[in-house]
Amino acid sequence: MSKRSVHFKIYRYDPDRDEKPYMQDITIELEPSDKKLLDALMRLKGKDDTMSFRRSCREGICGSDAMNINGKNGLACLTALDGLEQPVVLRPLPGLPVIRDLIVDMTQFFKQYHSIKPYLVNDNPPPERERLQSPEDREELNGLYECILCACCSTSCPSFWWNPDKFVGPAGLLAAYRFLADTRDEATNERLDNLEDPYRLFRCHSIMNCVDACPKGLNPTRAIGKIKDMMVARAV
Amino acid sequence: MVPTAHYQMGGIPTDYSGHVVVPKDGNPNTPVAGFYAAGECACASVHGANRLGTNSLLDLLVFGKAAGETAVEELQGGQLPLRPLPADAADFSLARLARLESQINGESVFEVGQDMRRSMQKHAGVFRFDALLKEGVSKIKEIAERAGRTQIGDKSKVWNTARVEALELDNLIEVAKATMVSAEARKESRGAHVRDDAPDTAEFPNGRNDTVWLKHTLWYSEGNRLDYKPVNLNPLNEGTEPIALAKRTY
Repeated sequence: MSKRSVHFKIYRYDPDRDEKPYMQDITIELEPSDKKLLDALMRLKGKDDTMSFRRSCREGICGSDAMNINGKNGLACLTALDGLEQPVVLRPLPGLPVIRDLIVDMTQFFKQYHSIKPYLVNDNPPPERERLQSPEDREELNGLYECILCACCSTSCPSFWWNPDKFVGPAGLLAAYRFLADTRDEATNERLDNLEDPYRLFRCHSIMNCVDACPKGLNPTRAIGKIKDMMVARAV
Repeated sequence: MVPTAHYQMGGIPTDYSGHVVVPKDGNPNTPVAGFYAAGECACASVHGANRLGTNSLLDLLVFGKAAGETAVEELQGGQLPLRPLPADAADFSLARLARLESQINGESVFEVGQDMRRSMQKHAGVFRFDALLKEGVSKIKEIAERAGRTQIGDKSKVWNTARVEALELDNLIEVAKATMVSAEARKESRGAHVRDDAPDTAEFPNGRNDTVWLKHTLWYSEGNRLDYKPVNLNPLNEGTEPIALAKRTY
């Protein structure tokens, strides 16, 4: 059987060496055990260790290896090599500053995430044991808590590209709703106040690129809609 | 489908407040002033020989908080008997970097890493065999020597993942040696350490030999040697009875 190979076109840029970015044409031979895009990238790095990308858990939990794959954001470790159209065009996540090759500066993304206070706020004295929830209350958090902060959604969102400093973006808003929906959290009003301006929440125009991009199958647009409902309910 | 490692049992020995502890002057758990560890790298010794599901939260939330609080408290207290930082304190780290920068005709980080992973999987995997472990000890020693000669092509100063991976490989090799050498020496089954030649019998429940092997293994990088220390089976709070050793039946 002839060896499988993948033809890549990869965005390369090392500010220490290159005057400007370029697309590198490269073909790599695969081993039979190489199933996912990340396997091929690791093999590529074995041949040319200047090829730079983030990766860690290699199983879709850490969210490190998000990149733009044939025009769509996704995780290299969850993307099957079989069926991937060639040449496979790899670019860094759009809309964030490139540090090097496929590595982007995530500062703006995490700044927005931290701005929604992604932790439980409850000033009541803790009970003797846990703060309990009913199974139904806990059910509300499904589809919200699973976010791995890979940034595939926010960097596919035109509103985030346009105003990354003012619009919280789908990942941050999904997290905001995760705490708004939590029966143990008591900061509902403050959380809504924090989002009540023309940009932070309301720049979402339900384009739904985020839903299309999310490698975990989550739906930030629905969560954003629910925050908007809460805003309306509070106003009337 | 293959089994993979998702948790590292054992680690830098600590007490419940995050102090790193070493055997000294007859006390197997003497704190090292100003040295703390928490998380998966640490071993506060609450898991026994097999950490059960969700219990790694203890390492993160309980001992992480404790270690942080202890470090802050002791630094602010000003009572730590710390010696001045030696003038050559950075030399070891700088030497590692300098070695990588100047290495020629060296080994590939990717290939040495692959060989290390394959050897660990084959020789210290889910089920362990005496002959394979013995072979593994010499193999991992050879691989460690190769890891000392790794070469990187990427000399960039910007986000150099090749350099990071080479340094990580040095660290992984240390853990691999500790795992292989300790596992080969421990002639029983215990928790996740399951040896083919130490099966479950009436005399040795789960293959465990408590008379000889109810003890912690201590591995020293210097000289690649082993030592042992007793296991503390007594709860720290007064009035709580220790849980007796028993056979694991699930």
